Amino acid sequence: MSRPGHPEKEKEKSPFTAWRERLADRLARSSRVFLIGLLLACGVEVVVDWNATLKEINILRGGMRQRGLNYVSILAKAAVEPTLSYDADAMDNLSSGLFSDEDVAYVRFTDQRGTLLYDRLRPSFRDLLKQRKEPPFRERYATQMERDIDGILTDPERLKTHIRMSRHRDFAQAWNDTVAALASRLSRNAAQPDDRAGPVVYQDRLRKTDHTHDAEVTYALGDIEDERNETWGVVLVAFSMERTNAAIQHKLVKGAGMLVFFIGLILVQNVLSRRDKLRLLDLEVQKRGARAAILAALPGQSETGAQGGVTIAAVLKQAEGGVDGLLWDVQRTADEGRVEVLVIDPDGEGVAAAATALHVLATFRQRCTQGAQATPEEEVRRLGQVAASLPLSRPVGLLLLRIDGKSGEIQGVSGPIGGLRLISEGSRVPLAETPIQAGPEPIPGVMEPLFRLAGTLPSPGLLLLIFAGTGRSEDARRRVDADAVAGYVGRERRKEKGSLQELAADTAIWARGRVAGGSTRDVLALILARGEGA
Amino acid sequence: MDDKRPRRRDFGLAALGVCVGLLLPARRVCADAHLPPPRSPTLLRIRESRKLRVGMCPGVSPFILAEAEADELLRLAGQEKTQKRRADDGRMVAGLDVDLAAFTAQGLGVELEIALCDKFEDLFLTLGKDQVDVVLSGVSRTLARAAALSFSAPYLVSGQEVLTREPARFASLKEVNVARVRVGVEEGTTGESFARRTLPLARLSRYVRPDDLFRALEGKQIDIAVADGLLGRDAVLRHLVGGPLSSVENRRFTSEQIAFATRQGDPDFTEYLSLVVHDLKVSGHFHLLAHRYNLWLRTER
Repeated sequence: MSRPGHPEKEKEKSPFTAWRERLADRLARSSRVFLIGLLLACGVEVVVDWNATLKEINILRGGMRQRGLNYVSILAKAAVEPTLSYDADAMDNLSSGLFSDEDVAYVRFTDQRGTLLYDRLRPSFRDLLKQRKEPPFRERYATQMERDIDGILTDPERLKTHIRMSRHRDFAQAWNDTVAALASRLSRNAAQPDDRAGPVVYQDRLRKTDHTHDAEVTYALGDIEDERNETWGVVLVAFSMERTNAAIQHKLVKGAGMLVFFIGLILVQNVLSRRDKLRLLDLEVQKRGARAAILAALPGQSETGAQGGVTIAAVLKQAEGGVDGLLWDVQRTADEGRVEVLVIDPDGEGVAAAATALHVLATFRQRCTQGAQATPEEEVRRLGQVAASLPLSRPVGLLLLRIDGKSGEIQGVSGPIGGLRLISEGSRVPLAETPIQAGPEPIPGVMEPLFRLAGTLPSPGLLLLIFAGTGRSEDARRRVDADAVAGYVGRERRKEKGSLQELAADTAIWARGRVAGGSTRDVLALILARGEGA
Repeated sequence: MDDKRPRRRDFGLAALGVCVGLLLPARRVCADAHLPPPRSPTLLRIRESRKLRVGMCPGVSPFILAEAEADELLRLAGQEKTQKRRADDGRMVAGLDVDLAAFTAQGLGVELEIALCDKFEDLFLTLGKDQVDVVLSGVSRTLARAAALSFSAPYLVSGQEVLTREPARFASLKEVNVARVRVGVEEGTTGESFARRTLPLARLSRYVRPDDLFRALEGKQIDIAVADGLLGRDAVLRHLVGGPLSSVENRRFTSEQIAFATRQGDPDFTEYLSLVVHDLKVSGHFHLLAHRYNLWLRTER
């Protein structure tokens, strides 16, 4: 049996759901989880951005590679006769066209033993090395060129593998190698770039004297083969990577800039949203506290039930997720001959609205305890003043009814909240309403207009009070179809199934379904009965 | 027991080689037997005498050197085991042209006879006097010579370079062609012709031998040496100069085609020699022969 005046017992949450909600709340508040999430987001951003940057770098380097492979392929075919003839003039003619490409730094022709036949170095590149006080080009790269020329003459595949496995590489190359290795594992058809080059090899893993990666020079080399596929020599074309490296530098700076920007954006967005989230969580806690406070303030079993000829049943279905602040109270006189019902519906919603309603309720109870005598209208004005005395509070909608348990006489004052119907023998009629003349000044703290209510609760009969939380300042009566709810109550009552409390609970549920935005409003169903069924 | 097996095998291979070696000429003779006798008087004479007479002037590296110079040539080339040949005057000779002459004689199936002539300008007279069948000494084809001689297709291309030990002072030919510059040339060569034509303002000095020319350069008696690029490289290799030689403007100024020189009036023989050159190149034999003298024939710009 549900507690009178309290919403019907909600379905018990399953342990898993409760655990999940606790976990979600803990995770939402945990700064450690936030930090991990932030690091993950930043990490993903870094990976994605740098991948894009590295891809652009690859395109730049890929262009140079393709050029090298193309030049060597063409030269190798054209150099057969000059190689056989030891014709330096012809080799000179072949290579002179290449030097119109600003990136070509050096061309070399050797015989099939790797012995030099002809080479040519761009003077500006020679001067550049001289300016930097570095060893001359031929001296600096002699060992590596001879090694690679020997490699391509003896075992080109091994040379390609050696280049691929070389440790003299920068980060971009290491990244590409890793991605290529992964791709080759995932897809057997993924060909290595060198495989498509045929007998031409591109060397971009040179080292400096200190064994670090040399990014200044790359070269392509290929066999000089005649139509019988007999190898007569090797041609090597070396490139200065100065311009390419400058472009790469630019890409890196741009990539770093974008990365910093997006990381900053992620940080700012996440920090701000977390702040908002924590604020919302705190607000949620406050709302839960406010809802609990309202529940705790509602009348207990001693005040409801059948007493003094009037039975009171009430169910408050609180709004989901919000705090509407609707609450009610019942006071009985010492001789239990009279019942006073107060319904408070603060304007607006939130913790402040609930606090206002609770304060007004506490004041009402205190006045009743002190035995204050006032007409319903005076009482309403006093309660309104209490509400108005709270800083930044909004007016409250009030309904105060006094019912004589013996005669059933009803007197009261109501603001523009809820709906009242007298239900008996198939009829449902509202209480007589007389508007209270508004004064020159509005009544402080009270939603107007006010109405004087009068009527008689028949015996047997029911008085239905149905309220949906005001929310914003608007005529809440229009949002509750009291006639429809009264019809429902009448029908259910005729079935004579269950207690008055159960009827109230069902009515509250039913009425919520009829109210626009019902789940976001408090719904209060109060049923007073006299006589049979009381 | 095991030692005898390899020996038997070696002997067997050697015997097989001898048989093949004997049979091949026989095959060639058999093949030749089907060909008509040559109409070329030179070729006919060569066949009848079973000798190819080649006129050479030693002292042109790496083409033909004699005696001690030949030894030094082979040592520098790392070809100490390469066979030298004996000229008709008893001197031992070696070089690229010697190898080419040997190849030509082998192709004809005749013996090689090398007639040495110590003066280059006298070399062509031996040809005119029918003392030799062909001249090989790094001879370049020029219009003047072609008016009196016949030349085969070229087997090598070289050219005159303007060589100096002071590259910063002589960046271009313009700096060379001034009155105060002393230019040395080898007399009677295309180098002298080039210098007279293109460096009229410079002071010209003539030297009989290339060695003298480069020693003069090293001794700063001259500022510039106009010579074939091959000679310049030879001078560096044989330490006739103390350091590297720079080529003004980093290029050759002439293109000279080196070929076999023959008497006029026997185009068939000249054509035959052209075919020899062609065959040498396409078969790769020239490349292999030239590899021995790579240190002279390579080009580094």
